[in-house]
Amino acid sequence: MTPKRYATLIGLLLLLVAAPLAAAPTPNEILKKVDDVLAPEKVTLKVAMMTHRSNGVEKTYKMMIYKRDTDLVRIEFIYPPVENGRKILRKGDDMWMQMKTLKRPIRIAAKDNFMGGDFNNADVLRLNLARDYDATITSQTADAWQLDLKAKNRSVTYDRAKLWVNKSGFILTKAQYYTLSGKMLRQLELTDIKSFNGHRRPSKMMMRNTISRKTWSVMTMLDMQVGKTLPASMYRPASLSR
Amino acid sequence: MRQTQKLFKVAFRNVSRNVKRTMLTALAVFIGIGVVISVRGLLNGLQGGIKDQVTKGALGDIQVHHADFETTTEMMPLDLNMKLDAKLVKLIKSHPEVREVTGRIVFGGVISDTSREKTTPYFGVAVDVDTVFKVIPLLKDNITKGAMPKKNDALEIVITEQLARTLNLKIGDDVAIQARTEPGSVNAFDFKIVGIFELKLATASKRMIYMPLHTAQKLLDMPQKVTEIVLDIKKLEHSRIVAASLQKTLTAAGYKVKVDPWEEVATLYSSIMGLQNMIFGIVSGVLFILVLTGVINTMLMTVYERVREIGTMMAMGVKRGKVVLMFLFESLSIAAIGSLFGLILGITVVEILHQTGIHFQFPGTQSVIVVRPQVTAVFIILSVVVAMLGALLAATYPAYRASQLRPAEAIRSS
Repeated sequence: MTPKRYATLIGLLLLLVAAPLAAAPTPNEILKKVDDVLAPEKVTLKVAMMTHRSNGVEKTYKMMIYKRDTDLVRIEFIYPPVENGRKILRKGDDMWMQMKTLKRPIRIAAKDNFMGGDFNNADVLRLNLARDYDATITSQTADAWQLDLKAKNRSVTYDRAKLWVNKSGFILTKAQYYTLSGKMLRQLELTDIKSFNGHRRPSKMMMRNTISRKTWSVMTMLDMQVGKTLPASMYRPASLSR
Repeated sequence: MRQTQKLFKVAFRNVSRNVKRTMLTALAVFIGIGVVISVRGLLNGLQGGIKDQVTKGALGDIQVHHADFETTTEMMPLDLNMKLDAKLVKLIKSHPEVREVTGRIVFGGVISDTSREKTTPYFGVAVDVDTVFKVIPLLKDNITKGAMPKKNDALEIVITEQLARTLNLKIGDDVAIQARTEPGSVNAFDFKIVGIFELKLATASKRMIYMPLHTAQKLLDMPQKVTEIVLDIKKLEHSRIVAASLQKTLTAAGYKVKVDPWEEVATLYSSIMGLQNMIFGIVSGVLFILVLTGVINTMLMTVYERVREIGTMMAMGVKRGKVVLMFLFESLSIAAIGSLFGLILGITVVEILHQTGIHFQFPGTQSVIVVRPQVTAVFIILSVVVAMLGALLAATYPAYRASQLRPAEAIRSS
C-alpha cells in the first residue's frame, strides 16, 4: 500500500471511531441543545397562556416575549386589553414588573406564580437549563433520552428535575420538577411540534400542578421569530416605565 | 321569739368574750373576702382590657364569614367571600342587639419600599373607612401617626410601626403593593402612606396594613365582595347568644355563612381568660376551705370552753335546738364582722386601683394598656353570702356537739 492509501484507511478508521462519539452528545450538551430549541439566544415569541384555576375559572392572556442573550427577557402583555401596559423584565437574577397603575416597576420573585398560573416566573423568564443544572442520562431508547437534573445552586427554582428529550431535533417532550426532598411539584408536557420559519419546536406546553391537581396552565406558541429581538436599551428596568 | 332575740344577744356577747380569738377568726374571713374581691376586681379589669382591645380594637364583637372559612387560620383564600350588599346589611342590622356592621377583606401579598428595591410580605386588612370606627373604635387610638384614609377609594394605606421600620418608611412615602387577585391574577397599585399604627395584641400580624375597602376590592378584583363582616353589638356578654341567633336568621335567609362570637375568633384570649377564671376559682376555693377550717376550730374551742355553761343553760331549761342556734349565731356574727371589713377592704382596693389605673404591658408587645379593676355588686354579694353560709356550715358540727351534752355531766366536768 502507498502512504496515501494508508492515510485514507486511517482516515476511514478514524471516522468509524468518531462517528458514534459525535452521535452521542454529553448530557450537558443535550441541555444546551434543548435550550436552543425552546429559547434561542435571540428570539421573539408571541404566546397565549390559558390558566385553569381550582374553581374552574379559565383565563387567557396573550403576550410578546423578547429574549436577548442568555439572561435578558422582556414580556409585554397584549391581551386582554385590561392587561395592556403590563410588562415583565428579567435581567440576570432580577425580575421586575410594570403596570399602568404603578409609577415605577416593582421587583418580583422568580419562584412566584407567573400571572397566578402554574408556571412560575422562572419557568417563563429563565429557561437556561444548561446554566442552572447538571445532568446525567438515566436511560435512553433508540430515539429518546431520559435525563436527571440537579440544580447547580440553591437559587434555582426546582432542586431536581427529570427530562424526556427526543433525539431527533433535541425536542423536550416531558419534564417533571421536584423538591430537594423528592416531592413532585409540577409536570410539563410539550406537544404539537410545529415549524416556525424552519425552527421546529413543541408549540403547546402544559404545566400541571401535581400537588393540588386541580389547576393547570397551557402556553401556546402563536409565532416565533429566531434572530429577532429588541435593542439592549429595552432591557433596563427604567425602560419599562416608558 | 323573744327568747331567740335574747339568744342572739347572748351569742353576740359571747363573741366579745374572747376578743383576741374572735378578731383572729374574723381576720381570716376579712382577708379571705378582701383578697377574693380584690383579685376578682383585678382580673375583671385585666380581662376587660384584653376584651376591649380584642373586640373594639381589632376583631369586633361578632364576625360573619363564608361557611367554609376557618377563623383560626391567619389567611384564607379570597374566593371564600361574601357579597356585602344593602340587603345583607339590613338583615344583619334588623337584629335588635346589633348596633353597627362593617365589611372587611383579609388578604396578603408583598409590599415594596419607595426605591422598589426592598420587598417584604404583608398581612392586609381592607376596611370600610366610613363604618370601621363605629365597630372598632379603639383602632383610632392605635394609630400613633397620621390617620386612616378618609375615602374608601383612596390610594392610601396605614401600616404598622414594625413594617415602617423594616422598610424604612414614613408618612408621605410611596409604596407599591402587590396582591394576588381573587380570580387568581397578580395586581399591583402605588400607595401613599398616611398613617402608622401600633399593635396592641401580640397575636396580630406585625406586618399588617390597613387599606380602604373599595381600593382593595379593585386591587383584588372582587367588587362589592368582602371576606368578613364585623359587628358591634349592644352587650358584649351576649356575643354567643347573638351570634347563634344571627346564624339562624342568615341561614334561614339562604346565606351560606358562619357567624362566630369573638371568643371563637380570638380563641387564644378566650382560652387564657377561661384558664385565669379556673385558677381563680381553685384559689378561692382553697382560701374558702382554709378560712372555714379556722372558723370550725374556733367554734369547737368555744364549745369545749363552755361545756359547764352549756350544761347550766340546759339545766335551766334552754332547749337543745336553741343551743345549736346560739352557736350558729355566734359563728355568723364572727363571719359578718370579718365579711364587713373584708368587703370594705376589697371595694377600697378595687376602687383605688380603678381610679389610678394599672399600666399593663401586653405580653409580647411594646404597647401598654391601662387596666381598670372593677367588681360587680352581684359578685360582692355572692362572696359575702358564700362566706356566711360557710360560717354556718362550719359551726354546725361544734353546735351539734354542744347540743348533745348531758346537762348533769356537763356541769360536773371541769
